[in-house]
Amino acid sequence: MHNPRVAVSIGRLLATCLIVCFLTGLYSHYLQEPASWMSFPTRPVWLYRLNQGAHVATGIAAIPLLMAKLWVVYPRLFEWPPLRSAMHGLERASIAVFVAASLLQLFMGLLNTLQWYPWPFTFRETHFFLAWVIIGSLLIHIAVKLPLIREHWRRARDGTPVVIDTAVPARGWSRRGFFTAVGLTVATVTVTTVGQSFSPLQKLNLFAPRTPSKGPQGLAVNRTATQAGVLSSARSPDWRLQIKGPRPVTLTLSELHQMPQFQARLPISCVEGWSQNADWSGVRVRDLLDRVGAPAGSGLRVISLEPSGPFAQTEMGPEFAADELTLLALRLNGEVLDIEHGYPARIIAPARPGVLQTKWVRTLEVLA
Amino acid sequence: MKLIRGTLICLGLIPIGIGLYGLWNYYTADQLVAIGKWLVIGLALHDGVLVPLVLVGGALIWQAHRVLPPAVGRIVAGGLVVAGVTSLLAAPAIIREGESDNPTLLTQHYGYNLAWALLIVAVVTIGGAVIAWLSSRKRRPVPPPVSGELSPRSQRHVADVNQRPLRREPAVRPGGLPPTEAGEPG
Repeated sequence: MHNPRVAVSIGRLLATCLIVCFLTGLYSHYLQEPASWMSFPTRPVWLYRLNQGAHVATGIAAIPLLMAKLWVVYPRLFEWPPLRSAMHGLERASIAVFVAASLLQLFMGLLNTLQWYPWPFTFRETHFFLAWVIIGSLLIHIAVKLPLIREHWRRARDGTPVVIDTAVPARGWSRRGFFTAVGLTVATVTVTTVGQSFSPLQKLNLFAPRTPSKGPQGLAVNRTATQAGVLSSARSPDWRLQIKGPRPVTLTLSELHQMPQFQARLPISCVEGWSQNADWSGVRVRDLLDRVGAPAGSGLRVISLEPSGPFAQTEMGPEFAADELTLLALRLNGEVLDIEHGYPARIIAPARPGVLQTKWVRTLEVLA
Repeated sequence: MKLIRGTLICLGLIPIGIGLYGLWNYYTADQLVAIGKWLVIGLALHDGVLVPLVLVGGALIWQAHRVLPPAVGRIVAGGLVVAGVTSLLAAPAIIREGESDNPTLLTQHYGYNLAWALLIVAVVTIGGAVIAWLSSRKRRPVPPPVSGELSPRSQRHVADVNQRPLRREPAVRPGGLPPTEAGEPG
C-alpha cells in the first residue's frame, strides 16, 4: 500500500479538500477584514452558510485524509541516505513544514469549533497565516512530485503489469480495501458532524459542538449576554439608539417599533461552522440611513453595548447596508428578541458571518 | 515540464512568504517560539506515536491470518480505523463537555454518542467479518489461468486464491508468484 499510485490517489482527494478549505477560509476572512476596494454578493442569502459549512466540513474530512496520506508515505520518512543533496534536503524540509503546518492547522480548526484555545497565541491570525504557508507548500510539493503525479495519475496503462492495482495481497489491504476504509472513515466523520450546518442531517449530528436549534427562541448563541457583559445595560429602560449621520437622531425602542416593520428569513451562520435559519423582523437598515439623510452608497459602523471584545464594533459595506433584507431586528421567530440574541436590537444581514451580525446595538454611524 | 515545475515552485514561494511574514510581523518572539513548539510537538506526536501505534496494530491483525482468513483481518482493520479516527475526532468534545459558560455550546453527551457510534461500527464490522469468514470457507482453489482472457473479476479472484498462503506452505515455492507487498506490516 505504501506506493506512489496510492499516494497520488489519496493526495488528490486531500489537495481538493485543502484547496476548498483555503478558498472558503479566505472568503470568510475578507468578509471580516475587507480591503477598501472589496464588495461582496448579498445573494443567495445562504452563501456564507454554504461557505462556512463547506469550510468546516472539508477541514474535518481532511483529518482522516491527511492521516491516510501520511500513513501511505510513512516509509519515506526513513529513506536512506537521509540526505542525498542540498535539493533533496530542501525538499524534505519543505515537506516537514507542510506536514507540521497541516497537522496544527486542522487541529486548531477542530478545537476552534469548540471555542477551546489551549495555546498561547491567537487563533485567527495563526490559522490565517498558516493557511498561506500550507497552500504555498502544497504548490511546491506538487511541483517537486509532478513527474511522479503524472506517471501515476491513472491506473497503469494497457500492456503494463497491474500487479499493484488489482492483486489482493495475502496479508494487508488491497488498494480497494484501503480506499474503502478511508472512504468509510471520511463518510463517518462527515455525517456525524455536518448536521450542524446542513439541516437535513441534523439528527445524525453526534459530535459537532452545536445543536443549532437548541437555545433561546430555537437558536444557538455564539456569545452570551453574560460573556459580553451587557446583562444590565441591554435591559436598561434608558436604552436609546443613536444614529450618527448628516442629521443625527436618537430613537427609543417604541419609536423603532412604530417605524415600518419588515420580515426576513435569514440564517445565522457562525464562523465556527454551525448555522440555522430564523425569522427576523424589525426596521430596515436602509430606512434608518434615509432617516438621517445618509447619501446613497454609504457604509455603516455598528457599535454594540458590549464594552470590549473583537466584534464589539463592526463595519458594514454599502452593499449590505442598502440591501432590502438587512434589518435592525427587534423580533425573532415571532417573539421580542431574547437578551441572548441581542435585545433590544441587533443587526441581521444576508450572506454575512454571525460575528458581524452585531447584537445589543447602541450606535449606528454613517460612513462616507 | 521544467517550466511548469519552476513556475509552480515560484508561485508556491509567494504564499509561504505572505504567511511567514504575517506571523513574523504579528507575533512577539515568545509567541513565535510557542507556535514553533506546537508545530514540532504535533509532528512528533503524529510521526513518533500515532503512526507507530497504527503500524503495530496493523501488524498484529495481519498476524492473525494464521487463525483467520485474510478477508476477516481486513474487515476488522477497517472497522478499527473508522472507530479510531471517529474517537480521536470526538475526544475534544468529550474532554470539554460542561466546561463552557455558554449553555448552547457542547449541548450533547458526547461520550454517550461516541459509545453509540462505536457500537454501530462494531456491529457492522463483526457482521461483515462473519460473512467474510463463512464465504471464505465455501471457496475452493481455482487452477491458474492459461491465458489472460479472463474477466477482471475472475483475474482478481485467481490472484486472490493464488496468493492466499497455503497451510504448511514451504518457505520458498519454486516457480511461485513474485513476492508482493505481503511482508509489509499494515
